[in-house]
Amino acid sequence: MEEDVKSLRDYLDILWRRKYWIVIPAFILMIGTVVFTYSLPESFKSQGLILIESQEIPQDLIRTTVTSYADQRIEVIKQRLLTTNRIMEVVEKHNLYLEQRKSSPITAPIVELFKSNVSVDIIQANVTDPASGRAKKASIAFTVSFMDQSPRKAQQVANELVTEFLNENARARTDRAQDTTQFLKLEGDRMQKEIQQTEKEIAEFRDQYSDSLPDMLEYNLNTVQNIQEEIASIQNQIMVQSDQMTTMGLQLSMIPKQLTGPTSNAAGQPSASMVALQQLRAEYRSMQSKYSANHPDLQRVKREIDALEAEIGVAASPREEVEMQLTSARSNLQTLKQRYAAEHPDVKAAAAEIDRLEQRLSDLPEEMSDEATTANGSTNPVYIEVSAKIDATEREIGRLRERQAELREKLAEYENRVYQTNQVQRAYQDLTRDRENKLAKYQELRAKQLEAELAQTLETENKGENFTLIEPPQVSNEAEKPNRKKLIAMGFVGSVGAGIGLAILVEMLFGGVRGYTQISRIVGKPPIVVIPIIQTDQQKRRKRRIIYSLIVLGIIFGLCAIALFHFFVMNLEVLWFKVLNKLSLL
Amino acid sequence: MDRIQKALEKAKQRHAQKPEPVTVEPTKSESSVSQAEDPLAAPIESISYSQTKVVNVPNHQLERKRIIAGFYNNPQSAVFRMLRTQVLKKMRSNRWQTLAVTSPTAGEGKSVVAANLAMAIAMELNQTVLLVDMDLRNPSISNYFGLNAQVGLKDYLSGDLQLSEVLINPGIKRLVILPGVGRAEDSAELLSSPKMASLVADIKSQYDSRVIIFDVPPVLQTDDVSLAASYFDSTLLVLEDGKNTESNITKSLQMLEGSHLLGTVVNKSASPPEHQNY
Repeated sequence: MEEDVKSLRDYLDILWRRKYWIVIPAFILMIGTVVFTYSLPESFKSQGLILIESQEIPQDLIRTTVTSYADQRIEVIKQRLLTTNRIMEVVEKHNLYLEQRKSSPITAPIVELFKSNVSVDIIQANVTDPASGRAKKASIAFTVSFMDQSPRKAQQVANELVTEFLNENARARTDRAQDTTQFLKLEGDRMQKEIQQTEKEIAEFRDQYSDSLPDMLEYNLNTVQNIQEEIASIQNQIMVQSDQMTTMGLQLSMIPKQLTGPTSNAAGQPSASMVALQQLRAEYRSMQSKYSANHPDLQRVKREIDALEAEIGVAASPREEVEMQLTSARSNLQTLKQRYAAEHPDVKAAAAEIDRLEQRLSDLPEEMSDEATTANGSTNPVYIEVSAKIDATEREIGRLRERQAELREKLAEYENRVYQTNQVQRAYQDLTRDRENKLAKYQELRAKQLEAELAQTLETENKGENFTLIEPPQVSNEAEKPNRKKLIAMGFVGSVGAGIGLAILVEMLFGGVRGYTQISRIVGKPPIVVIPIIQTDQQKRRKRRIIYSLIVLGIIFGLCAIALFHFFVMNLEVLWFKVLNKLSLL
Repeated sequence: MDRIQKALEKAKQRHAQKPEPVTVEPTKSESSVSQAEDPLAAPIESISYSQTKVVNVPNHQLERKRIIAGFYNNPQSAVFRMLRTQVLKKMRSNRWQTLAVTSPTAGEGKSVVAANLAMAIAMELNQTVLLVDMDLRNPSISNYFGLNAQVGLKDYLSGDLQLSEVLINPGIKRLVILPGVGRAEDSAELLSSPKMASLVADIKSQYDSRVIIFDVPPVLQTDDVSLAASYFDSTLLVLEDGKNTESNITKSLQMLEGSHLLGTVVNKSASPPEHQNY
């Protein structure tokens, strides 16, 4: 069986044929739509427009601490505002959704309902990015709206939402700026403490190694040099003094100790025997160190001295006597010690002898040497003078030696200081570097803190990026939802569609065989003739009359529509200019 | 068909008609013969109905009832003349005399087609037509011609009437109508009655050169067609465009299988095929 393909014309035929199937259901549905549409509860929308103002002071001058994008921030604020707690607060405050709240105690559906009635829409515009010169989308404003069945409540809630938005933004920005400042301040303080600590360490270190500090190096080196020079000069002096002393010793040995008799002797002239005695005594003293006490040479010199003393009449003072004995005893002990152990009876005896002599010496009254000399010895002034000089020189040398020793110690110390300088320097450098680093960090922190404080001021004085309410929510006169016009239009389209669908369905279900070709196919041969619908004159006339009356009605209706438009919607003149304007734009 | 041939044929028919006994034919008398301008048309044109009731129906009334086949000024009449030619050609070649016009269901316009076809045939000068409204349940021919018939086929079959009392001429030459009046619930019985059979035999024999057109009820909705099938030499099936389902058509064709189907006529077509327009 061959299938016949339907052309557009066939479909138009079907539609025309089944026009009542289309028109009547469509009409009924349209009426139904209108009734339904007008029976829907009205929702009023109230919305506020908030402008996102960019920072007043150029970014180059003050950098804000809030760097996120406006959209993101709006979204964050929205999320923060639309928490269950806050929503329920608003719901209770404005007595919203009384019925729903009565019917169910659960908050979740009410929260959902509220959320579905809130909308935050961001308005974007094309702007040219000054940096790249390219066009990009930027958010310039956003609307916050609320829908409710009561226009007044819608306005109140929308107003509250808008206020919350503004407050939340300001608060969030200020908080953020404050947080930043606070954080930087704490960081700065911490760094300051660290620096103080380091500085303290440096001070202690300096105290500890004050002598070896690198900046003392030159001074230390100079000092070392000076000391060395001084030591050398003292050495020189010592040598000179020693020479002098030797010379004076010789001179003294040649000067008689006593003048020969107070009568004969020229005053101050020591007698020859006196000089001899002196010489003997010197010889004795030198021999005492060389030989033991009972050495024959020593004995001989002792005897000669005794003889001379007896001649001169001055015996050695008892003290001198004892001293001489002590000297010999000591040398004796020395020799004994070399030979025997300390427990040897000889050694013990010698030691006891020395003790006894020392005892005796200490028991003897002190003699004034000068007096003694004057009294019972030297009466020669030259001799006295020279020996005094010798004594002075000796003292001088002693003093010089002391000084030298002192200087050597000092030298060693200073050399040590120089030696330590390198090590000290390394540690010192470490410390100072540490301090410098911290100092730099600290300065940076403080600078940042200052900047952050500026930014905070910027935020607290609302000079940063700001949300400005430019259109507060109004009490709406017209219902936002349902959009009746739209619904009706959709209903009309749907109705006509349903009608057409119905017509096609009817055609498919009940449609008979149609047309020359189909009948030819079924019957097996073509029909003899195809008779068109015979229209009588009467029918033609009636049709014509209907068409005329429809045209007249259409004209009247059109005029009425224009008149209604003119009086109720827009003045025709205004419309005319609008149209002209549009045309000139094209 | 050129004119000479046509003339010859008409002459032959005239000769064939001549021997008909005037007495047997009560409906018609060729008493007066007017001098017609067309000599070929003269013999039948001059017929005047003496016994048959003549009701002159005004043209506008016919037109209002869609009986338009006779009006050359109506562009829609051409299609019926085309139909007439086709039908007559077939009937003549088969020497068929009777034609039943039917349709699968009611209201497809078979009566209109039958009336128009009868009128179109009657326009042929050498052809007379008898249109019988055999739709006893719902007769409509009388209405279409505006005849206001008092008696009809039903009365003839059930009563004791002369045929001449029933026949009506609607003021159109060569066309006689046997109308139906009233509704006959017993149509089947009437149709199958011997009187009906003798009527058909009568009119067939009486009107030798006549075409007898029966307007019969729908084929699917009554059994009338099957009952009367033996009266018809041929049938014509009227189909309303887009009304019948395929099964209806095939079923109708099956039921008409016994009689000779001349063909189908598509009626009330909103979009007749292009080739038919002239």
